[in-house]
Formats: sequence, structure tokens, C-alpha cells
Amino acid sequence: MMFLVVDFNVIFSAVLGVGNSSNIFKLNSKKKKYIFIAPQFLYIELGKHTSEIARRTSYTLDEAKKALIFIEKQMRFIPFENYSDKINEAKDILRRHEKDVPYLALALAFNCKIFSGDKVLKSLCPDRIKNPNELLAELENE
Amino acid sequence: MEKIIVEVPEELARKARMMRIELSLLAAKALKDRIDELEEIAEFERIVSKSKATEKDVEELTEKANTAMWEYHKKKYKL
Repeated sequence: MMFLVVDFNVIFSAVLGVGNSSNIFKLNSKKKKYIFIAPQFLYIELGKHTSEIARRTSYTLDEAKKALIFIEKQMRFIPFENYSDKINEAKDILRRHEKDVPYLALALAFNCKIFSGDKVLKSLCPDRIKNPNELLAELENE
Repeated sequence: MEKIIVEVPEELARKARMMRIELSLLAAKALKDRIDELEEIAEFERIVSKSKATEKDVEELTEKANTAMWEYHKKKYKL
């Protein structure tokens, strides 16, 4: 299995059932091609949004929790210390797009790509990003 | 309990005997785990199919969470 960094955008897209991301998590659960990784902070933050996810989707609270758990089971949450030495390099690449620095630093530390639908991030480091359409095509053709 | 017959390569059966592994228990466990996984996928599919959320909801949640993450990193690790 290979590592692939995931960002909040693809996780929320999957849990909220918007776009292709939910199909990607379903396929990966069957094929077990990737171990999705993310900064540890994501785990804490995701839990805070369970009620809001339920409200925006019309899921029950239990369904919102189940959908989040399905995604989280395919993920490993990585402490800052494991990618801290790549923060400056990531900042140099991303400059003003600083909110994505933790994702890029993590990808640099694990020498892997990032699964993201963020167009600005893709324009700043095109070789490092797999967007949902690209990843879905890849998993479907496995 | 239902009984099924599973054919395995002779080499695998030999290794299992050497390692004192009960292949029938292992197969039953593997089947259970896989079926549990497929049930979880089906349940996830059922849940997301009823979502009323839009791309705008995803963008708003993402913006909020990404901002919180970057602020946390800046403050905690003095970036």
C-alpha cells in the first residue's frame, strides 16, 4: 500500500456525498491501494464538525458519525514532529497559499502525493497533486 | 452454522500445518472480516446517497477547518 495525503476538502466532499470523493474512499476500501495520511490536527477538527455535517446533509447524528468513521478507518493521522522539518520547504513553494503548508510538508516528508481538489494547490505544485477525477480513474482501472 | 468447502494450494496447507494454523478458523475469520467491510461500504453508500449538501457546503466547511488547522500550527509551533 502507498501513502497519499488527503485534505479537508476531499474528506468533507466524501462525507457530504458531493462529487467523486465518496466513490474514491469506497473503491480504496475494497482495493486497499492507499493508506491515506493527514496532519494529526485533522482528526481533532473532524470530530468538531459532526453536528454541522448532520445539519447540512440531513443525516442523523449517528449517520454523520458512521460516515466519518468509514473515512477515518482508511486514514493514519501523523503528528507534527514527523513533518516539521519540511515546513519551511513547503512555505517556500506555496508562499501566500499558506493554509495548505501542513499538507505539502507532510507529502514532502513521506515522499508521496496529495489527493486534493484544490485548483490553486494543483497550479502551485502540479506534479504533487492527484485530483478526484484522476484518482478515481486510476482506482477504476486497477 | 453453514459448512463450506475451500480449496487451497498444497503448499499453503503444508505451511499452515508447520505453523500449527487452523486453516478453517483463519478462512472463517477472513470471510467475516471481508463481509463486515462490504457491509460498511454499503452503509456508507446508503448514508451519502441521501445527502442534501452542495459544493458550497463543502467549500464553507473546508475553509473553516483549513483556517483552524493553519492557525493551530502557527500558534502551537510558532511558524
